[in-house]
Amino acid sequence: MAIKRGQGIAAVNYPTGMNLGGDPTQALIHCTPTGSFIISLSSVDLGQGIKTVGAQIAAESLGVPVDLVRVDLGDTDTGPHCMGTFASRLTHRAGNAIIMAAREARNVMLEVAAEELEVAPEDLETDGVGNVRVMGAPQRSISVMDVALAAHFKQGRTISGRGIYMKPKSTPDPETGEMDPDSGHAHACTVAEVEVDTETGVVRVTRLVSSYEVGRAINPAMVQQQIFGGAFMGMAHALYETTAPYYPDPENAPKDWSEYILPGWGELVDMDSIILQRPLESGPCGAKGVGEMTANSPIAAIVNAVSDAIGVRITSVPITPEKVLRALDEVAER
Amino acid sequence: MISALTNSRPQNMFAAFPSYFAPTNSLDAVRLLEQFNERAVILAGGTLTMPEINLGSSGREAVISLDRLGLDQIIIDDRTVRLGAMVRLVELASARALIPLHKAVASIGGPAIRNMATVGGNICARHPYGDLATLLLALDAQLTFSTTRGTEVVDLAAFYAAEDRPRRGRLILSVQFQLPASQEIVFRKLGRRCVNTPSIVTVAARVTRNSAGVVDRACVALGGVGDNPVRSYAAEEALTGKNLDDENIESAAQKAATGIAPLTDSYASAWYRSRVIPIQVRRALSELQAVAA
Amino acid sequence: MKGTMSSQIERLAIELNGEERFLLANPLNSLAHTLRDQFGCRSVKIGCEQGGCGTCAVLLNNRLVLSCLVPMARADGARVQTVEGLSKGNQLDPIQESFIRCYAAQCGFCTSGMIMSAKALLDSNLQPTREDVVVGMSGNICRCTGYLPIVDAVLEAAKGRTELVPESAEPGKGSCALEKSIKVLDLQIPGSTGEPENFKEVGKSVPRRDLRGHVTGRTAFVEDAVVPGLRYMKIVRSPHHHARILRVDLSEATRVPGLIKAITHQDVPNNFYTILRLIGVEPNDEPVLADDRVLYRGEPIVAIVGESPQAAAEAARQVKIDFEPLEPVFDVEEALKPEAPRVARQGVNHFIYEGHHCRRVRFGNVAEGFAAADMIIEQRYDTSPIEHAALEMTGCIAKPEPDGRVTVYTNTQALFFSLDNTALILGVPPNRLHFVGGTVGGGFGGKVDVIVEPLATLAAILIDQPVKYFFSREEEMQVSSTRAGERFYFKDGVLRDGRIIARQVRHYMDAGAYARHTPYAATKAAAHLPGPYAIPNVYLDCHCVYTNHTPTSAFRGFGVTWGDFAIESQMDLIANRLGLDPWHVRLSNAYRDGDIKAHRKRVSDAALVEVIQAAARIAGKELEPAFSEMTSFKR
Repeated sequence: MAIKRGQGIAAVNYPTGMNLGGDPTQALIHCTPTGSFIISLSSVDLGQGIKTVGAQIAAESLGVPVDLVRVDLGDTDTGPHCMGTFASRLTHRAGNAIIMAAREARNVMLEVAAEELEVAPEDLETDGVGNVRVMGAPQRSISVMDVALAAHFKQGRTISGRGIYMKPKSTPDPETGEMDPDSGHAHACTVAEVEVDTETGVVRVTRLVSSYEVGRAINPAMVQQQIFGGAFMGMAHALYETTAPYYPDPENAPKDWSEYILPGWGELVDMDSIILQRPLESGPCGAKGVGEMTANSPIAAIVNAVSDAIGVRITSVPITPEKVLRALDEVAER
Repeated sequence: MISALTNSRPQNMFAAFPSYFAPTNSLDAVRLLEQFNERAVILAGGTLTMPEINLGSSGREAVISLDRLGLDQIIIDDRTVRLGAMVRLVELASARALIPLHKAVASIGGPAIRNMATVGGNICARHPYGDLATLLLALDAQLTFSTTRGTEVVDLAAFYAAEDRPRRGRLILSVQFQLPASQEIVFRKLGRRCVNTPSIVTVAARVTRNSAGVVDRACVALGGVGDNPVRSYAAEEALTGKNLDDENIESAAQKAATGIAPLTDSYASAWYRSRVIPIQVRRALSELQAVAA
Repeated sequence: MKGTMSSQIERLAIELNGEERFLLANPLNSLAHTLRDQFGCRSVKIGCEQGGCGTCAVLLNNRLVLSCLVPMARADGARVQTVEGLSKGNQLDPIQESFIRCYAAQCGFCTSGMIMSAKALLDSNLQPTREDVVVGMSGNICRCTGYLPIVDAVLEAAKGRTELVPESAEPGKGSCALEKSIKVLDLQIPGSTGEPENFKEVGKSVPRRDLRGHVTGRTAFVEDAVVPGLRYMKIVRSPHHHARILRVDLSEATRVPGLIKAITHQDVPNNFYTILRLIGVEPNDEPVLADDRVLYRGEPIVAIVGESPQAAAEAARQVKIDFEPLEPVFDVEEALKPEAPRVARQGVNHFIYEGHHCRRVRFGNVAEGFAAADMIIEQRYDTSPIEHAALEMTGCIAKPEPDGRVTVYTNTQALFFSLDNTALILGVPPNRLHFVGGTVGGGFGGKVDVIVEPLATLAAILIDQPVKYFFSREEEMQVSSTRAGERFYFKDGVLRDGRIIARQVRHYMDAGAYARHTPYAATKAAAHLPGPYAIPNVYLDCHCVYTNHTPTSAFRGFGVTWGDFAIESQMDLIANRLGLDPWHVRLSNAYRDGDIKAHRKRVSDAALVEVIQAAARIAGKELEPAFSEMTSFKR
C-alpha cells in the first residue's frame, strides 16, 4: 500500500453582477418617528446575509449605529424591485441602491437637524453613535431620535430615500464577442494538499490554504463563513458529488441524501486563509461579490494536487477513486 | 382503539395512510403477513418503512408494527448470544459483553439512525444496508422465524442464498450466534466517507487458529457487493488449514471475489468493487494477522 | 376533517418540552409533521422525510431520533424535546448561545437539528473530543457552513456547560475559531493616499441578525407560513427520457377519495416557460405541463391537487399514461450531429446566438499565435452535473385572497422574476400576484427556475383554495435542475518561458432538455474564458446544447466554476510540459491593470498577482524574486 502526496494550486477571478448587466435593484429607506431606519427591499436572503450586510451599509451611509437600522425584505408589495439573489450581485447592487437611498434620507435628516440646531446642514456631521452634531462644536448636538420626532411632528418632513443601481445592459457583438459583462472581478488563489491511497484510489484532502481578494469585506466574519462553506462545497465538487455518476450515461442517478455522495464531518480539512482588499470603484464601500468564488479555486487546486500526487493528469471531475485507479493503471502500462 | 386483526380489506382502500396493525403476539403477526403479503410492509425501526409511508405513494394497504411483540431482548447465555429482531443497534453498542460487534455497529449511519434501526431490519434490508448482517454472516448466525406452522430455524447464509425472498407469512423473531473472541474477528468497511457512509465493500471475517497458528476455521463475508451480504467460500478455502501469513492472505484475497459479481450503483461501479475486494480482504486479514493468535 | 386522513384516528398523549399534551393523529403520521402542524414546533424541519439529513432531529425519551421516521403510534406516551424547549424566555441554552458566538449557521435550515444532535451528545458526554463531535453530529447535513464553525460551536458549548463563559465571548469580539481565522490585508495601490478608510459599521464583524432566529428554530421559512385549509399538489412525471405521449387516462385517478383536481396542459393559459423572455432571450421552448411529448425523465405531465399529501400521491399514482418511447441522446457532441435524435422543438439541438451555433469570442489571430508558439498543448476536460442539495426543498404556497389577488409564499431566489413569469404563464395582470419570501434555506441557484409557482398559483385560482407545492427530496435529487455537465477542448500556443500567446477553447454546456438559463451561461462562460490571464490571441466557441438529460440551470458559479477547473488544470499542464513552476506560469500570464481582455474590456481592478503571492506566503512557497516582486498595478 502506498500513500502518495501532492500539492496543487489554482488562481481564479469571479465577476460581480449578472452577466451583461441590466439587473437593477432598488431600495427604499424610511425613518420611524423615534429614529429607527427601515430598508425596504424585495431581495432574498439565502443565508449569505443581506439582512445584516444591508443594514451595515445603510448605517454607514446614514451615519447611525447599525442597531438603529433594520432590513425588511422579501415582499413584492412593500419592497421595490430587485432582480434577485444570484450571480454574486446582491451586495453590490442592493448595497449601491441602499447607499443612494441612504444619502437622500441623510440629507433630509441633516436639514431637519440643522433647523433644530439653527445652523446650516453643511456644518453638521453624524457621530456614528446616534447623534447629529455641529462640526467643531460637538457639545451642540441632537439625537437622531429627536431629529426624527422633530421631522415627523414639528417640521412635517419625511426622512426617507430612494435608490436604484443598475448596470446598463450590454449586448455582445455576435462576431467578436465584444461585451461588457460585469462590474468588476474578485480574485482567489487556493493551495491544496492531498493524500492518495494508490490501492483503493481514495483521496483525502489534508490542507487548504486560500487567499481571497474581495474589494471590501463588509462583514469579515461573514466573508469567512463563505470561505469555509465554499471550500467544502469545492471539495465536494472535486471529489464526490454528481447527479450522474457515469455521465453522460444517466443511470444510477442518486435518489436521496444517502446515494448523493457528499463529504461529511469525517472529511473536514482545517483551512488557512487571508482576505485581501482592493476596493472596487463601483462597489458599495468598495465591495465585490464573493459568495460564488469561494467554491471555485479549491476545486481546481484539489484536482491539480491529485494529479501531482499520482503523476498523471486526471481531466474529469468528480475525481472518484475509480478514476484514480484507472489513471494509475495507465501510468503503469506506459 | 387500534383496529386489530381483520379478515377483510380495510374500508378505505385508497385512504390517506395504510391501515396500521400492532399485533401483540407473533401468530397474529404472521397471519397478517400471510393475508396481506406484498400489500403490507413491516415497521421495525422505521428507517426504511417510514420514508415510504411519508411519501404516500407506496400503494401499500397495511403496515404491521413489531413494537408489541416483545422482540427487544438481548440474551447472552455463556457464549451463545440471541438478539431479538427489534433490538436497536444502540443497545448493541452499549452492551459491554458485545464488544466484538461494536465496530460494525459504529459504522452504521449516525447516532439517530443507530438509536432507531434494528437488528432485524439490518438483516432484511437490501443493498446498500446490511453491515451488521455482514458480520453476523461471518459469525455463522442463525435466524429463528415465526411462521403459521410454528417456529423455524434457518442459517443466515441459507436465508440470503434462497431465491424466494421475501416469503409469505414469515417473521424473524431473533438471530443467534456464538460470541467470538475479539481477536478472532475483523470488520472493515470501505465507503466514500469515513463516518456515516453506505458501503462500497464491507469485509467481516472470523478466523480461528490452533495453537500452531494454523487456521482451523475461516468465515469470510462480503457486504456492499450485491443485494445482500455473501460468504466468500473461495477465500475461506484458501485459508483453511494454512498459516495466516502474507502469502496465504494474499492468495485468499485474490480469490475472494470468485463467483461474486458485484453490482454497480451510485457509489461505485462493479469494476471498482471487483478491484478493491481483494485489497479490502487483504487489509482485513492483515489486521487479524497482527493480533496474537 | 372529512377525507383528510384514513379512518384510523387515535387519541394519543405525549409530553412535549415538559408539558403534557393530547392529540388526535393517524398512527402512521410522522412525529415531524405532527410536531409542526399540531403543536407549532417549527424548529422541526422537513428536509427529506427519508431520515437522511437530520433537520427533523428531536429527543424522544432522551434519545436522539429523526422525527420524520417516527410514526405517531411509537410516540404515544413518550417524552419529546425540541429546540422550542431549550430556551426559557430570553434565556438561551448554552448550546444556542455557542452557535451564535461561533457563527455556526448561515441559512439556518439545518440549525435546529444540529442543536438537538449537539444536545444529545453533550447530555451524555461532558467533555467530548473533536472526534466525538464528528461522530455525534454525523447524522446532520449542512450545505452552507462547511461544518467547521459548528464543530467549534459544539466544543465551545461543552466548555460553556462546565465553565464560566468568558466576558469577551460575544460575536465580533474575536473569541471563536472562525473569528480567529480572519486576517484582512489592504492592498497598497499606487496613487492612493494609503490612508485606511474610517468606517464605523462596514468592515466590522457585526453579529448576524438572523442567528437568534436560527438557533431558536423561529426563523420563518416558507413552510412555516400558517395557511389554514391547505391543499397539496403532486406531479405526475415522465418515466422516460424521451417519448411521445399517446394517451393520458385520468379516470382511475379521479375516483381516488381526496382528489380535488387534475390539471393538464390544456388548463394552463400560456403553457410555456418564459424564463429568458424577461431578459430578452427567446425561444420559449419548455412547456409548464407536457402536451404531446416529454424530453426528460421526470418532466411534469399532470398536476394533481388533493386534500392531503397522501391522497394527492395516491391519485397521482393512479394516472395512466401511454407513451411511445423515442431514442434519447445524452452526449453533448453526439447531440450536435445531424443524425442525432431531435431534442429541441425548433429543430436543432443547440441554442442559436444571432445566427451562430455558439457564443463566439474572436480576439487577435490564434492561427498566427499558434504559428509563433514554441509548443502547442491540447487537452480535453470533462465535468458532471451537480445537484444544489440545499437543505430546504423548493416550494411555495399559493393562497387566494378575498380581494381576488393571490399571495404566493415562496423560497424563490428572485421574487419579481418569479412573479412576472407566473403572471405571463397564467395570463393575469402582474399586480394580481403578491409574492412573499426572502428567507430561504439555501439556494445556490436551485431556486431561480420558477418551477413551482406557476402551477401552484394556477391551481389555487382554479379551486379558490390555498395550494402547497413542494418538491420532495427525491424530486430535488432526480428532477430539479442541476449544474450542467460541461466539456472543454483547450488548444494553447505557448512560449518556452511559459507565456500563453494563443488560446482556443471549444466549450459545450449540456443544457439538458430545455434552455432555462443556459444560453445566458454560455455567454457568461465566453466572458470568463480564457481566464484571468493576458493572452493576445483568443478564440472561443461556447455552445449551449440540448440533450435528454434533466434540464440544467443556475448553480453557484454559473458558467464559471467548471471553466475554472479546466483553465487551471490547463495551466498546470503547461507548467508540466514546459518543466516550469506552476506558480510562475500563472504569475507570468496573470492579467494586470490596463490589459485588454478577450472580450475587449479593459482590466481596472486586478489582484490575481497579489492573491497568488499571499497564498504562497501562507503555504510556505518561496517565489523567485522576479515573481514575488510583481504587482497588478503595472507590468
